[in-house]
Amino acid sequence: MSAAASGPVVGASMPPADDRARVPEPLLARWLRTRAAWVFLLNVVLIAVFTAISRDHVFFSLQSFQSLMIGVSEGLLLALGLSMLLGAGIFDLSIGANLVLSSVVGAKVIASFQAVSGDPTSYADPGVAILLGFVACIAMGALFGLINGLIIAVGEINSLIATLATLGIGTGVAFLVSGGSDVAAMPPVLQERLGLNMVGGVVPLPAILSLGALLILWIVVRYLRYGLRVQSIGSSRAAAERAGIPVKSYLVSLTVLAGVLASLAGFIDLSKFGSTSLAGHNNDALAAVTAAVIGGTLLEGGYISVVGTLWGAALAVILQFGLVIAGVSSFWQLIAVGFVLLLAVLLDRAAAQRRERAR
Amino acid sequence: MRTPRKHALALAAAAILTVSACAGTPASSTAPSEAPSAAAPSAAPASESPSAEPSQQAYKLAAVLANLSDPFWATIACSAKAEATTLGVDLKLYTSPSSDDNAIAQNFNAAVLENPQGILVTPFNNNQFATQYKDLMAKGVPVVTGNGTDPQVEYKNIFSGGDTSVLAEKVLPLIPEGAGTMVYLGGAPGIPPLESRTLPFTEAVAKARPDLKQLPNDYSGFDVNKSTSNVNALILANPDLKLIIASNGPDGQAAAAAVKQSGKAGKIALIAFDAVPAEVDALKDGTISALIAQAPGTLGQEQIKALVDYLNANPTGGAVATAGKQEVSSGLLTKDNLDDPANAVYIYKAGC
Repeated sequence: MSAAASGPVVGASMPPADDRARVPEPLLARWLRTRAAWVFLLNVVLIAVFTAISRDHVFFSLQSFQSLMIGVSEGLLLALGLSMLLGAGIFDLSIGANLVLSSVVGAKVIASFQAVSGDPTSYADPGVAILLGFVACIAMGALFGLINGLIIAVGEINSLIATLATLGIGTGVAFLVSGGSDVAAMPPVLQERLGLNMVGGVVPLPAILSLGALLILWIVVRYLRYGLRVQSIGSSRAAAERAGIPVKSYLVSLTVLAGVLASLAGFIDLSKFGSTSLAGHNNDALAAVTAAVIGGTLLEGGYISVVGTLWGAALAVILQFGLVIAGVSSFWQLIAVGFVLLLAVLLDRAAAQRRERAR
Repeated sequence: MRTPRKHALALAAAAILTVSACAGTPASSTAPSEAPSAAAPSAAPASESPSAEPSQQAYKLAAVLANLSDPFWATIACSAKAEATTLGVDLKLYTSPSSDDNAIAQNFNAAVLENPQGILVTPFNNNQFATQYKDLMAKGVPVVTGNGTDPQVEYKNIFSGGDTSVLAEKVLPLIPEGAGTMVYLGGAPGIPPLESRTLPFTEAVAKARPDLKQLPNDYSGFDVNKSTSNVNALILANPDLKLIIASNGPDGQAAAAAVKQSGKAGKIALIAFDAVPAEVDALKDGTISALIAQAPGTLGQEQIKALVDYLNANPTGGAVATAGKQEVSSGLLTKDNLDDPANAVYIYKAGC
């Protein structure tokens, strides 16, 4: 690409720089400049290390990768939603509450089809129950996101404060709807056909759903006007408004999207355990933002790295899984996870400084 | 145009927050109305077996309970309310959804402000209110606890029995024969009530099966997803894993999912503590081999009964002296005895 096409016009008298003699930078070099690349390479190194030290090298096995893929599915969906929000310069602390509330609503709808209350074998038509439960779950997530979006965009309330409030409200409503206890007695087919189902005996279905969402969002961010506009809102909201972008509509659509992704994670959660897990999602928002930012999405907005988010989400899961396989004690696991996450960011920082010096 | 819309939004937000604030402590708002008010208002002589019959006074009692999102505590709250109704006393619950010490303290202070005649308190930090207990007891207010102070200052500590080692012998036939490994899923370290209840059992099993090498304890922080991933890793890293002991509901739920996912149900014995709905489902389908459950229904019932018994026996008031401890034992649930009506007290309820 020549400067004549893309470079700034400094003055009419100054000729554009002739860069035809410059050798285009190789694709690999360009890729290595991204944070996603560094995190990906770190993941590869971790897999190699854990494979080497695990007994009979079991870390590098199909069962291990299946567990990793199941483990990363929910976190990836939440991190993708948060990446999109961060790209537009807003935040969501309530995604964990949304996940829990959506799964509770979905579970309640499914349970309403029981012929005998509390008996998982008493569903006359488990398929219909699961389908309607899924619809209710996703609708709840979208509604939760819509409420967040209206408060943030129309109410013009800071997203951090708004979602801090809806975090409490959503959690409370989930407890009220569930009666404070996990909703169980789901049809066994839910776990067998969805949560623990291996497509072709190889790939977990939850992972396929998550990767499908990733692919769609990658296309949206990379090739569609929507993705470009979202990032321009994050770069400068005022400029985006002046350019005629309907910022409020975009923000609402983003929170609905994040809500739908959270509810999809909630349904995966429900299908994985055969019951809701009210207590298991207190740190989801922090884990999601960590995955997004480590993967290269800018915390201050303006840039979304969809693929980087995948590697960021995978990093935490690979590390945790590998440390357990390696027999590292739980206390050391906490320290090791903290250090490696720090290392991931420091490596990227060092690479950025090298690039700065080279210019 | 913008101002009215902003006002409407502000009003709507205020309404939502008000509703959620009311809904956040459902028990405290509903409990008083659920307690009967028909009890005779006049004083009556203390009965010889006071709790056998409905109380002759509408005593005003308070119960400060935390972590109501856990079915164990929810079941205690339900049974306490039911017992209060049976005995004809006015019980007001002060509850919080988490085990946060500050939230418990706020609820405790709110309860004390209303001058109850007797109070049930179960803080997670056992000695958190020891000084306040002394003050209340000096004023004639009996204090019953679920987690007792050390040294004991409350009137009575009615707690879940810690000696689960006696149950070890009963589960031995469920563990596959031959040398191998075992692991204990501890939830989080440093929780005395949990450890005192679960570690004696684990030690007794380890002693009875010296051919099972104990792997390092695993702590998930009660995170179901993390625990599932950890158990998956443990199964993968230790093909000779024969026994998993899950010390709590979330770890039991997670271990069941991991065992099922790995196709090792029946090959790995999974003994879990507590009997939350997800664990009971896994016990029914054979993924969990046995559950060691407390009796939360009995606990709530006995705790309220102790308060009413004391008030009936001491109508004139006066400083309350400590009266020791009362242990409520745990039970062993298997697929075969799950439906036995006698074991219903061990199953944690999803709601009242």
